[in-house]
Amino acid sequence: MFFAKRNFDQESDESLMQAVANGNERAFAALYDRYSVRIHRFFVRMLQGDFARAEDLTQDLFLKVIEKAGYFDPEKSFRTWLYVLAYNLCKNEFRRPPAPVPMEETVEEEIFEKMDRELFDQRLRICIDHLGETHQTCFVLRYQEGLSILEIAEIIGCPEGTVKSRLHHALRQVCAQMEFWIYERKN
Amino acid sequence: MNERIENLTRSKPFSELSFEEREWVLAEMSAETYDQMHKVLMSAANLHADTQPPAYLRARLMKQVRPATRHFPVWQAAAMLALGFGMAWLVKPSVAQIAVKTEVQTQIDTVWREKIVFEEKIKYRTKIVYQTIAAANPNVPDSVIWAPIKTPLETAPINPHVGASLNDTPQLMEFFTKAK
Repeated sequence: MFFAKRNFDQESDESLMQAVANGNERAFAALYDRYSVRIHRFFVRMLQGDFARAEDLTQDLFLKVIEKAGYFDPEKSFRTWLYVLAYNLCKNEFRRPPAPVPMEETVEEEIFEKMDRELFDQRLRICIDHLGETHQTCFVLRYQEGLSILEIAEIIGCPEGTVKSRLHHALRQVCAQMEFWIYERKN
Repeated sequence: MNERIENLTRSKPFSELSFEEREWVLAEMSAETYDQMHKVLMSAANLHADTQPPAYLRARLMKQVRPATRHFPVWQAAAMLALGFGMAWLVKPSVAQIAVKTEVQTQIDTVWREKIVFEEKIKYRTKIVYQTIAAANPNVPDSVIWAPIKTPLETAPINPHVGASLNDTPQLMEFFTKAK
């Protein structure tokens, strides 16, 4: 029927964005429910576990989605567009002086004694955080967010070959730093 | 690194690979390196996996969505228009009920012409009557000299009576002709 209520849960992101541009709250709620967790997690990963800042950026990002809904081109992918906005917000954060990362030198002894999952993850987080800005972005988008190489190339605005190269180097670097830990865990 | 091998590292360890897959992997790297990558990638994907935005953020953002003026799709607008025309056609009165009223409007232009009217200006002239007085005559009294000059009409008082003819009284005739 013409006047039946729209079921936003089954609509594409792009058509939801058109509804958001018309001020439809339910469409925005559907979009938020789809992407808020992923985007918040992306910010947490990119900002070295700074939850408060990640929350602020998540809010800023969705405010931008509301404000710029009218400018969104429905022919393009919403997910890529959303990550472009998120990446740009992160770039502004990268320009700030980085917060000191605790290397947990004081708990080295504990690490040798207890190679549990938590400590391994902690070390892995530190390794990822210590990648360069561009390498970290590629690593997070590919291996943590699960985006395709083509999407990453569009988001950071560089050729696919460059993305592949950065991913390769980033993975090698992380693996090299984690080699000792992996070896220890095996034994 | 080959994209296909990369996908494998993200899905299963070396021990779970098929014979064919192992051959691909071993052509690129050692089994140990593969397992190392697998472990790193699996752990990286699960980092901060349980992180969620706070619930109040959703409510706060929902307030920011302003309900804009409702935009009807084109088909809805067309349907409404068609419905309107249909209703108007149904409600339309019969021909007998229509009263034709002809109204004729005449438009008249008015041209205003400005007419300048001057006020009448009355100019008074002073008539000077000269009277010869023998100044050397000492017998003429001052009252005669300074007496006001009288016109001939004033000098000869008109004393008409009822029934008098104008021909008989030249002063009266003169009065009327002068007054005119």
